[in-house]
Amino acid sequence: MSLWCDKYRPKTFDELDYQLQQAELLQTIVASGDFPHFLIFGPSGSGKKTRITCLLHALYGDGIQSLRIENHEYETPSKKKIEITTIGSNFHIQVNPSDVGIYDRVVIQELIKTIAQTRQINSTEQRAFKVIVIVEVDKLTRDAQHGLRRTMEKYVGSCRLVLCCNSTSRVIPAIRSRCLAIRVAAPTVDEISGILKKVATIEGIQLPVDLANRIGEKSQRNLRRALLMLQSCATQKVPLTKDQQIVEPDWEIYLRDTARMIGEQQTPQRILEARERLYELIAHCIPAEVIFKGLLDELLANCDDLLKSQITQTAAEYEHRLRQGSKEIFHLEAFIAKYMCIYKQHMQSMAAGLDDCFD
Amino acid sequence: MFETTPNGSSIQIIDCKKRLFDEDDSIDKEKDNVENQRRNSIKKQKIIASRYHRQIPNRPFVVLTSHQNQRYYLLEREEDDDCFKLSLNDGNKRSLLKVSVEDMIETNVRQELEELTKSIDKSTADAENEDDSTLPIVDQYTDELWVEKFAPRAFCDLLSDINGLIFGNIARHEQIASNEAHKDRTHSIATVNKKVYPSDIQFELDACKRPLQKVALLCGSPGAGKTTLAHVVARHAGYNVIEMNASDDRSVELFRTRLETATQMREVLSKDYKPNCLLIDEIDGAPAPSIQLLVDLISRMPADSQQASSKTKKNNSFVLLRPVICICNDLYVPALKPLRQIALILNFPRIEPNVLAKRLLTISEQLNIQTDMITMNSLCAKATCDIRSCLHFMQFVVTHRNRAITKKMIESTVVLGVKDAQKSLFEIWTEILQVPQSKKTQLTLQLDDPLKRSGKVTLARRLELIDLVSSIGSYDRIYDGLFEHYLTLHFHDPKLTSIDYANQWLLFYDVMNKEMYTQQNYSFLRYAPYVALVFNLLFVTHRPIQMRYPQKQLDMQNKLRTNTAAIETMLNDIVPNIRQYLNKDILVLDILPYMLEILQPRLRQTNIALFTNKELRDIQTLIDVMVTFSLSYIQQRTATGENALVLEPPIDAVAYFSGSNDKRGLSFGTRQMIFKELLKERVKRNIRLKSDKQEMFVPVNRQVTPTPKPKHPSELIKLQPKAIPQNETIVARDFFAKFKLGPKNSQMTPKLPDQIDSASKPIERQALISFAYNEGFSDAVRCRIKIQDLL
Repeated sequence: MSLWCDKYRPKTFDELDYQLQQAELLQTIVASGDFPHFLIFGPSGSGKKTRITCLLHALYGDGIQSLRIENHEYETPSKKKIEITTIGSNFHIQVNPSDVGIYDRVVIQELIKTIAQTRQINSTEQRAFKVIVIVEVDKLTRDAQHGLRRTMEKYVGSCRLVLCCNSTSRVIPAIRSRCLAIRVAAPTVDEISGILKKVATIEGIQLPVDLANRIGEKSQRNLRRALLMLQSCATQKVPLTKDQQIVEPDWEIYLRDTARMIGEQQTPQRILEARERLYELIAHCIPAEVIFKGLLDELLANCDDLLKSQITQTAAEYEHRLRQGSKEIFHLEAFIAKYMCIYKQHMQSMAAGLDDCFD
Repeated sequence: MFETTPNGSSIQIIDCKKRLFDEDDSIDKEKDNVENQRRNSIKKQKIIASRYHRQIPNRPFVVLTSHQNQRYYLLEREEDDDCFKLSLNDGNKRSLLKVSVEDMIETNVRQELEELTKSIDKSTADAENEDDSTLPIVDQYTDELWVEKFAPRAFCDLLSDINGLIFGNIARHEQIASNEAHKDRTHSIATVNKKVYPSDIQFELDACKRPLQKVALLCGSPGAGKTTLAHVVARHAGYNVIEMNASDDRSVELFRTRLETATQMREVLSKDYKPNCLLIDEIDGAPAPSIQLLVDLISRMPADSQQASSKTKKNNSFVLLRPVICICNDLYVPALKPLRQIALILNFPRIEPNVLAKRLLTISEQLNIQTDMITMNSLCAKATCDIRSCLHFMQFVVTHRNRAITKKMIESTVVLGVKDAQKSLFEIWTEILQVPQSKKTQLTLQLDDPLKRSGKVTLARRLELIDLVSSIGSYDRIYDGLFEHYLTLHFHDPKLTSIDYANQWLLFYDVMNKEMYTQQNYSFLRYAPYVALVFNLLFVTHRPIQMRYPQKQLDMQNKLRTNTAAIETMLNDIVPNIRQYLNKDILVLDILPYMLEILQPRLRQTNIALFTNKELRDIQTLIDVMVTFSLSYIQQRTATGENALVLEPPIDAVAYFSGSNDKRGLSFGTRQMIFKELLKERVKRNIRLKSDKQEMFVPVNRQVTPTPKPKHPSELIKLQPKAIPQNETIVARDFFAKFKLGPKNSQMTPKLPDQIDSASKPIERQALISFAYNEGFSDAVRCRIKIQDLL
């Protein structure tokens, strides 16, 4: 428990620092002993999984903290063996079916059935159901989501599902309607700086208010990242000062530079250079949608207001097509080409408009 | 009409034959003339054939030598004296040429040769005679396949206009290889007793005593004449050709024996010694192990085997001293990969249609077939310059008693068909992106708007392209290549609309492709080739393009795979309490960049005891992080030969980008220190885990010390005893023992072994830890014994 984001992670509802009202609500739901399936969503670093653990703790007590890792092996209809790792205690099991890519349907079907079909023996002492936590539900293929649909209803007596995802937009409506959706919003900058201060006091470090706020802003309201930033700052220099440099991830800098390059010049040559950099980013395991987002952010910051809506729309369109396709580099480059095209056209129409002024 | 009938082809042939007969009727007189001529010529040939003798006749004769070095004796006759003498002269000239062509190539007499061929072409009668003189047995058209009949027999017969370069190349290569052979030949003639193989090595001029590339790899489309070329060149360079092809069994063992016999044996029976030249035809079908064997043999260095050859030559360590020519159609067969890297690759170019047409015309003139240049040109185009199929076609037509080949016939015939030979990827890319040379004049590109170019490309051409692309089928690779190269092409597009448009098509393909493969819905496959057409319309250029195999995407994928593997191993080893909150993306995007910062605090290079509180705390967290995320350092040797400790799994490679990496990282010493501390901490934690069992300290330690990572290099393990707190006493003991032992040793040198044993025994007994690999760690090493003590 060395990284502060893990070290100071709340274990129970009482320890939570923000969105207390929601926490209270959850607590009352759980206290009644039974609850529907949950769909917990919210941006990265807002504390979804923390709340899930709190919830489980409220249900089962300390028993959920003795975790073990299990490997399951399943066979697909095409006789391919797939392996998946689950983390679980005696009372719950956490699984990430998107680990196995397009075979996630098999995992969903098999795993949930095997767990759900075994009932708890001693239901008087324990709860009558087990909890299955499925993370990254938005990355599930459509087939897997459809597979999940019926299972959810069928085995509701013996198991509860807690689904966890970043955005519900990729969860099919059928599943959304079967769950109690709970949105965990990202903490505000003030909340983050408050938490940072609390952590700093426990660690015995003086944290200037300005730095805390700067970290809060720079972390894009991602609490995990904010804590990591604070810790890396503390590693660099103690005591902390107001104008201390905050470490930025390499990939962010690299991505920003790439976007800047695209904004600077619009030639085929530039596309080629940008492509090299995109290859590099992809090779460093940066997901394509993150690249899309980073590019768009930076491009929007440096372009004409008239173009902003058009470019955003284009980006959305290309990102959507990326989901349908498979070769990320094609889609990223197509977006860059489109941007350049729009930009060039805009410039030309501006130049043409200039003529009208002189007439 | 005819096409719809089930056996349309045959009907069509009959039809065209009919039409031909009609034509013949209409030009009956001419036909008669032709018939007469033919009869005459046949007669002549018969006469000539009857005049050839293999034995020395008793009448007056003239000696002729054929290309096969066979002698013929031609009887002299009174009646056709002039003509005969002319032809004789001609024949003599040619045969003379063939003998001395080796010298002639050196002095570049190819021009002369060409003049000669022209003169031969002009006088058809002579040419016919001469043809017969080279092929004395043929007197019927159907006797032999024309492919065989008209195959070039000598170096100067080859269509040198195009192949000049390649021949020069091969000839040079062969020359180098054959240098020794020629000299060797003269030597072996001069001094019979001299051993052949050592002399070979002596006479080689090259650095590795052989030409650098010992193998020539000829590749090209079928029917281009690769095999013929190889035969001619090898024979021309003075070799005895031994051919292996797909008809032979090519298992590894047989391959080896054949290789050895071909390269090491020599003909005993023939009088003049010719070195062998191995010709491996159709090597693209050979099994990979056989090719690997060939490569091994080729790349074997002569140095080690030179000794072997002087002693024994049995233990199959022979050096390849003879040239090997390999022939393949498809250069990119996976099995050929090792060979590709060491061979001299000669890409057989496509023959220019008009050159081939000219040659075909010459042949038809010789055979008295009525045709013209345009017909021949269209024949070449239809057969895609496949010499073999051109000749087959001509023979086919002529044996059906048509003495004329017309353009109509070629166009209507199905015999030839449009060849569905697969083109290589490179050819397809060139076809898509480059304006064909012959059509340069037809297609003028509109420079302003690439999107309006489409009108300039005819429908036929578009369909042809689509056929071409779909014939290969592996769209993925085609489009990867196009994608990688289209931006490097020269095109004028200030608004970049064409790039946008092309990209949209690529995306369309990608989406379609995924749909096809995930849903098994292959009905979309038929739309796949259109992307190539779009690229053709947008980016086709007059300039020659330099295509390379698309490599970048593969590189990226490989890199991604290693990085993903690193992340996954890390993820798998994290303790479950933390792991439940993590996934791959969170790890890469959020945690790693900061964690590496935490893992590399600013530390001074001093002893750990002198660290400030802050530094100590940093190290404490660092160790903590490394243990919980089960990271470690492993020793590696860098490219420069230094030892370095690198993170295992190599997550820093994932998080750091090459451009922005300003040499962050800890020094070797610090890392070593951290590593030691890390091991210590691991031991402590293990003890804590097992402390409930109340085991003795010693076994725990014994168990633990090898566990951290059994695969550590031994140097690292040696460091462990220092790290374990117990060890301090041992070190101290050592320290004292050294002082105590020093004088003792100097006094009692004769009993040295016993003394050391007895001195070290108590230490061993008291030491609670013993390491299997730490034998050398005892005082035996630490004690300084001077030489004078031993004397």
